[in-house]
Amino acid sequence: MLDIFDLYQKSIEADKIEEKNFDNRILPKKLNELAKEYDITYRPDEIVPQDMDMVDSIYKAAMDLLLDVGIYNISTSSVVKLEESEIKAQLKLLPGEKTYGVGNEKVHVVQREVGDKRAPTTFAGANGGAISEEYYAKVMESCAREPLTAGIHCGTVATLHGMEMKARSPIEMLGARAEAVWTREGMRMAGRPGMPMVGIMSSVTSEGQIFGDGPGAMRPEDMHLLCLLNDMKFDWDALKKAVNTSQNSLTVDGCMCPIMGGYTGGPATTAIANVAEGLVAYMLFGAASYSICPPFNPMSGEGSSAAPTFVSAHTGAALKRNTKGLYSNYVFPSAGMCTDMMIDETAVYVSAITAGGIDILFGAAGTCGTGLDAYAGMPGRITAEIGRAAAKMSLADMNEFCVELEKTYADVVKAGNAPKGKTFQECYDVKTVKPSKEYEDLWAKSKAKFTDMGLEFEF
Amino acid sequence: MSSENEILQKAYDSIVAIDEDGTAEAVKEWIDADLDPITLLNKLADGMTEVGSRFETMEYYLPQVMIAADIMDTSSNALSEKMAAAGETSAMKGTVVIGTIEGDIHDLGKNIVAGMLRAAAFKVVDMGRDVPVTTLVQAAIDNKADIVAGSALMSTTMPYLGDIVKMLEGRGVRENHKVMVGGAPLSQEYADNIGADAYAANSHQAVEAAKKLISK
Repeated sequence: MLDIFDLYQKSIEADKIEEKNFDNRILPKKLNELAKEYDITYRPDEIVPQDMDMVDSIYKAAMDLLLDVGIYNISTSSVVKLEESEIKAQLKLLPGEKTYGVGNEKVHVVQREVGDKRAPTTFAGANGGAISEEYYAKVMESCAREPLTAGIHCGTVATLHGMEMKARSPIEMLGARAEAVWTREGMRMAGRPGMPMVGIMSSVTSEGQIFGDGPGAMRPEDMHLLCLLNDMKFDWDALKKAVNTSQNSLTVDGCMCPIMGGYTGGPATTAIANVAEGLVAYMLFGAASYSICPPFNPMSGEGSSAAPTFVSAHTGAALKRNTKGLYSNYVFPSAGMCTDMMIDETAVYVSAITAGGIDILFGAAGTCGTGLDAYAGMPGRITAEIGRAAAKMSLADMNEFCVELEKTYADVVKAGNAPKGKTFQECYDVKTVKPSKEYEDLWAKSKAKFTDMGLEFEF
Repeated sequence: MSSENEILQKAYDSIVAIDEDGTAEAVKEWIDADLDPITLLNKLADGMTEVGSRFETMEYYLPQVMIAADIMDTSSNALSEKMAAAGETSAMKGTVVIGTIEGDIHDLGKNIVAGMLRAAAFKVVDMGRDVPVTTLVQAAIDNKADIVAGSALMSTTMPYLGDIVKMLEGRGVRENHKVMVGGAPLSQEYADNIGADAYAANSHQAVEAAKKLISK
């Protein structure tokens, strides 16, 4: 992990740069130059990594980007530059493995490679989506009841005592604690109290997130999310979270949520930026793992068509072939639960990133995480089973599978017309915390379809 | 010397190509030839519409939209003196004060909307990210904004959007400013519940909603 004192000093002593200039000119100009120099291009018919020379070029370009543009601190309006030797020394410290959780549910994740035949680990959950307080623990229990899921990604508590959660308010802090306590309660009710959780999602501020730790809530062995800002940026609040996790020996996941078509441009340049930001996340937060959302389309909100899938799969492949960092991904289909389309989107995205060497799958969380109560354990089961099946396929076959299946829903998600599907309470028996027969039958039907397309399921 | 149509075409082509120097040259030629500023501004606005269309189809990305919007601002400023001298009013559709709301630093979506509104010839006063409700409302009053636009990416920050409406009402100026909201966790239903005048799911919808609000 980079020295916090050095980062602080560099931030306050560096020349001031107008953020607009960094966003609109410095960053995109360098990204475009690097994509051209390294001949990095996006091909919609090759969303699963096939060309390892290009994958390695993405990594080289990312390293060049980081060295050239540095990391922008929005709190000081200055750029922190790093030396190549400093970056390489930091990356050598990456362990390539990490243990999460405690007791019987302890899970040890060892770095996968591109095309690795070992299955990725799945953390089911809401990926930060909002859940009503009356259903929160039940949704988490439904995730913990899925035997193939090793951990749970928390959601956001929609209200607390009927009150809206407001950033920077006392309710935000209490909501952060409630999120972790209710997630643990769900785990306990499923008989898996030692499972690791990923949080906090109900709070954006450092004080709120830090309050997620405590008795019956988050433990040091849980995955504490520390988010970089988009587009090669950080701020004091991100560093304050890092001070907390490092000083208290808490397990960390460095995360980031890119946008397609934003300051980092299209698929090829966004892949370069994603990798560079992964390097920053490992170093800035002392994280063994780095997780990203698919780069969402700003017009439709989707993150499951060919372009975002290409970016996430190639980002992973580039990091896997060149570092010992762990890589996780948020699976965010546009469609909601209990729909064919959500399963199809999950199949494409999970298969492509599994082929690209993903270590941990988060979700799936339908409606791109925007729906209320749109999350449960069943999408985690689907994600885990697809991950296990996809790991057995060759990269070429996986690409063919993904390209063919993506065509069946691409137009719908790009138009922003994905079906909203059902809520937890509509597709689960809330008392027994079991999925409806309709949902189980739908998954069985989709599995049969995917089997015909070449996936081999274990269950 | 170029003809009127040639200068107009040069201005259009330059702004669409995100060519700052080319557009500046065309504007200078236009002013030197003592031609009607509104005609050129309308042509530049057509160019900005094309830039916006290219963004929607991902042919262009956000930096290009933002730089094109800067070119448009520079051109408008250069032409404004001439317009004022001729007693003509601004070709701008209206004024929008925009910001990512208090507690939220996720401003990329807001930046896209701001860029596209500028592309559609709105005067945009961008207050940035993590903007307190009081600051946003005061800016709306100070700038005589037609629209106050607020964005939130987090469910914990979106409640502050409702406070915009409440504060405008509390200060007795609600009827002077339309309120438009957007962001991933929002919906039309949420916007209705907080009393906003419009909800937009993306930048295209935001521009269309702003046009409608202005025409009311």
